[in-house]
Amino acid sequence: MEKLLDILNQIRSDIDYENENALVDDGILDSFDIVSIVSELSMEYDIDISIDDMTAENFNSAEAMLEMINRIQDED
Amino acid sequence: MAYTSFGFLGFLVLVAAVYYIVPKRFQWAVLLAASYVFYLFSGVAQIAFIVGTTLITYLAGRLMQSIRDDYKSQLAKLPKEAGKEVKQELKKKVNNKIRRVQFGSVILDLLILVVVKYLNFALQNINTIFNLFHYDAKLPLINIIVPLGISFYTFMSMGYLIDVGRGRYEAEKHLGKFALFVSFFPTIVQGPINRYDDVGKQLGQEHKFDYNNFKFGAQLMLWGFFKKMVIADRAFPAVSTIFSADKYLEYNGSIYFFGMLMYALQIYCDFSGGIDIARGAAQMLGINLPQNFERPYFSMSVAEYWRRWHITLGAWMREYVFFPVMLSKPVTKISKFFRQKGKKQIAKLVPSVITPFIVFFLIGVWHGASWKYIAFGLYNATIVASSVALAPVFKKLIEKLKINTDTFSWRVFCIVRTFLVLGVSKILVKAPDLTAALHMVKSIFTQVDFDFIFGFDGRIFELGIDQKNMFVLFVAVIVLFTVSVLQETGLKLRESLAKQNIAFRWAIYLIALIVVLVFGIYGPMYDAADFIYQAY
Repeated sequence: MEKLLDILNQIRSDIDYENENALVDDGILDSFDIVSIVSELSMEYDIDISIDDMTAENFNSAEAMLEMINRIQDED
Repeated sequence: MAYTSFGFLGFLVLVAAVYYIVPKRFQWAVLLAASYVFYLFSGVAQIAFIVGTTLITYLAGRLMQSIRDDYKSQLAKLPKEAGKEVKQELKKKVNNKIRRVQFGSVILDLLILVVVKYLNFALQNINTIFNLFHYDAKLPLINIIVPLGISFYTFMSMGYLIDVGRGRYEAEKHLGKFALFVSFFPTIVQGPINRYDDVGKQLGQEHKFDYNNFKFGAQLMLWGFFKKMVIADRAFPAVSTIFSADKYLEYNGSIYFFGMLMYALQIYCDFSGGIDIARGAAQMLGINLPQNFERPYFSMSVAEYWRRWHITLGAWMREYVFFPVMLSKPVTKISKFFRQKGKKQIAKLVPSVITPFIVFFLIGVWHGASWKYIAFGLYNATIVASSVALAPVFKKLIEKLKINTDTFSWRVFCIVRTFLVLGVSKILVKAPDLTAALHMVKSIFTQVDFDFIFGFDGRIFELGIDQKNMFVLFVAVIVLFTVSVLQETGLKLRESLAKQNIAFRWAIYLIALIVVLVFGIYGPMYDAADFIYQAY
């Protein structure tokens, strides 16, 4: 989780990732932020995040993102 | 049948009455029948197109679903000791099959739209090129009346196909209910662009009569009539005079600026008013349509504006164009290339700069087959892409100038700046052609006419809005502005009004109704002017 929070804070430092759970639904992250997050996560965790994973639920909270990362890593 | 006609009101009341009287399991059928009757008013021949798109989309959805179901049963039958590779191989095969159906059906839907809406534009351009080379060949243009709402229902259908292909939700089994999703009459003229998993599902469900829904829906419709008939249609004559092809050269920069303001007012009230009417009508039937506008002129940047104006089109583009392009192999490859070279900033920037151009080009073309819409798209893309690219520079500049961005004055500055930047793109769309648009924008900066601005010479009243109408427009805009500011603070006006005493409440309803009836502009045959977005 620490690593993920570090990555997220590098992209947008003005967000309280630990407590927000509607990052996409409430429009806190915009499309450009989401794409930056996806490209960072792909690099840092060496995973392929596909278009099928691009749902609001997967990016609404740091926890959801971590779950998605773990799931993709398991599938590989 | 225009949404602002008395005919439509009568139609809606009749549909609502039947809808709430019949056994609930037939409610979808009432709406489907009503939607097709409504569609027939726009022409009999055009119905073939919407039926065609409905069938293609429905069948492809079913096919993709059966491939996926089949896969699940195969997966269940696999022996327990089957390795990961076997499962992955199977998944890959199935995904490829689904992708093929998805791709083919999306292309078919798109093809119908392109032929009907864009083929003539392409043919005209080819003819122009022939002429340039003195080649005396002329491709004949096709003669089709563009079917009502084709851009809207085609986009909804393509979204459905992509979602089912991605496995976001299961395909609809019921052809009738699916046909209703594509053709639902309040949304067929100008949206919103609905998602199947939201509106499609609601349409298939049973709905009990709910007084609050009915009342709130009627109020929203009335508010829509106010925006459309009292404001938009009142501003319309000035817009068409100032931007007319034969007359515009008689005017100067200040008049163009006034024209731009009037057009900004007209297009917002026309489109969002139409959406309010659609959402209100649907709410009376117990269906909640998505928001399509969130007071876009209060946006502090162009990117924010596009998240608040025509929200469902923006969401569609984000979901089905922006993300797929950003995550596509070529774009990620370019990005990776720069990253490996140690140029992390450029690696980040490349996709953020390329993608807006693709998205806004499509948004431009979506509005119509003409070069001015393409210019409009590219202008917006340039602004959005450069604001992303220059964000660090602006940040530094703001720090250096010690600007406190957490102030009311900074907010107002950003809002006005965004509005003016967008004003240019509005002129691009409204001017007779690109040369005229450039002339107008240049004049705004070079010809300032104080006599006109302060109304000394009364010319402002000679452009299609006389003194009396200007006064009504002015008061109406103040009402609109006040309501918008209140909404901006998070106040839910209809709910707050419902809590007031009955006498006060009904006084407000009656005043609103009378205002629309007295001050609404009625065009020929007592129908208000057509909606602008109806043509898109």
